[in-house]
Amino acid sequence: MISSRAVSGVLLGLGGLAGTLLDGVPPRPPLYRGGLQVLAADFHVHSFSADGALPPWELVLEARRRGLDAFAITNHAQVWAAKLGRWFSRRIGGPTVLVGEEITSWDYHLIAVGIEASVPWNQPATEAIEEVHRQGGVAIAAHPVAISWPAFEEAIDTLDGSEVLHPLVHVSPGGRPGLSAFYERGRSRGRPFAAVGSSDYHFGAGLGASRTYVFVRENRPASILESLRAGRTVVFDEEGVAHGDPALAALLESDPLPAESRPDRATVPSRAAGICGWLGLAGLVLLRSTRSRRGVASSAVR
Amino acid sequence: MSAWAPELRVVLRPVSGYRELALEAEGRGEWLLLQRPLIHALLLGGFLSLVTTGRVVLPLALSTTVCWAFVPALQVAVVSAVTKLLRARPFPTPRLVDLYFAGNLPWSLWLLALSGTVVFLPSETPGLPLPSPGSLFPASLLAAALLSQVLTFGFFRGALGLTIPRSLAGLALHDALLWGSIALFFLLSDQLWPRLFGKIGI
Ligand SMILES: [Zn+2]
Ligand SMILES: [Zn+2]
Repeated sequence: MISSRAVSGVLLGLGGLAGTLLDGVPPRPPLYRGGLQVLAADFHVHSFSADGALPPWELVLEARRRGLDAFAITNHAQVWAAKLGRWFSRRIGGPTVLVGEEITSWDYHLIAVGIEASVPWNQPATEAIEEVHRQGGVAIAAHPVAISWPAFEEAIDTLDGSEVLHPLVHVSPGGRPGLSAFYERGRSRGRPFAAVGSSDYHFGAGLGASRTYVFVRENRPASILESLRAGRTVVFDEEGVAHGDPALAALLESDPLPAESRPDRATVPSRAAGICGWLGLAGLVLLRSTRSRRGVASSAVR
Repeated sequence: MSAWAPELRVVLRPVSGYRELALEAEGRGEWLLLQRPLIHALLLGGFLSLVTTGRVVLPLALSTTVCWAFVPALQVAVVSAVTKLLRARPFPTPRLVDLYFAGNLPWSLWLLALSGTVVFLPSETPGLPLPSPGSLFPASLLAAALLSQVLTFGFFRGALGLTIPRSLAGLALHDALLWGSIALFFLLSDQLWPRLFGKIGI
């Protein structure tokens, strides 16, 4: 008799095979507006072995599925996983990985992008930003809702930008007003201040769901960092309202980019593959194995 | 005879279910040591692939299985250590580990339920990792954690036949070692203290 575990294994195998075959991503041609290349980027992403679920190389592949041209791996207090992601991405031809860190202090979180060594966290935000700049990186206020404003009181003058879109806006009543108010304060200082949309990805489906459009000369880390410093970014928030450089936002509004790439998991083959894989996993967990059937039978005989 | 896994009985009646289970199954072979931990590692990998892409993508599922296999490996080490410390080893190690992992079902059900929402609900919620309503996530996590506590107690009491005070001591030791090791892992690879005790949690 075929055991239910074996049937589950076959279902899982079939679901896995179909799921893998359906995983191809068509190549995306570079997009240009106003003489500059427009990159879709996510500058706040966590990986395994920090508190992100996916290892760095799988983040690179997931970024491809999500139509990202560049992203930063920004774990708390370490940069080695980001360097591993950068190495892998260079081997397979992108998307571009920037090495970063979410500097995680008692009263502020700060995204550093374009650094090579971890920045000490137990220091005021102004000093952390100084260290990021010394390493040639860019400093972005992470999810700066009202509770972290006091920590950025002085630091706002040296920040390169702030997250104006973050998943917080979907779950916290203070999210949207807090992020908007902080961004407006930053850009009222009369110097470039980049609008950034980030997913703060840890696991699940949201990589790149909040994203930043960066206008660059070329898709390389140095060029991306230069554009962030110059504030050449646009973010469309959850209502579709544009934030960032007004001239660049106008360019995208008059000549919109193609729809954001979303893996078409709603197609029939994709859903069938997903259901098949899920049923296989459920069977492995919930159905009795042949071994324990025999175990019961033999103990009953005894 | 039921086609359902014997773990389900343990969920419904933790102590007596475990007592019956301990009497029933065979206790031999290295496969017994690996079978349930491997299924749990595979479930973690499959879960992560499903919630990421909506499908089981084999390289992704295998990568994440390997990365997260440290959790079931840690559980094997912890249950071996705790039963040794309590001098409560009525079975050989493979059998002991197999019985202990039968109590992991709340976590398995939780992983299946969450990945099921991704597979069976048609669309993504923009910006959020899962389509299920946000509040269900912490509530269901808490429920799985509490139920797994009851089942681990059931393992010490029903399967190993310990007294209630020794079973509670086993549970406390198990929790301290398991969660302590996981905290240590993240302490070494992540920035734990400011996130636990600072103003900002995410
Ligand atoms: Zn983060
Ligand atoms: Zn944060």
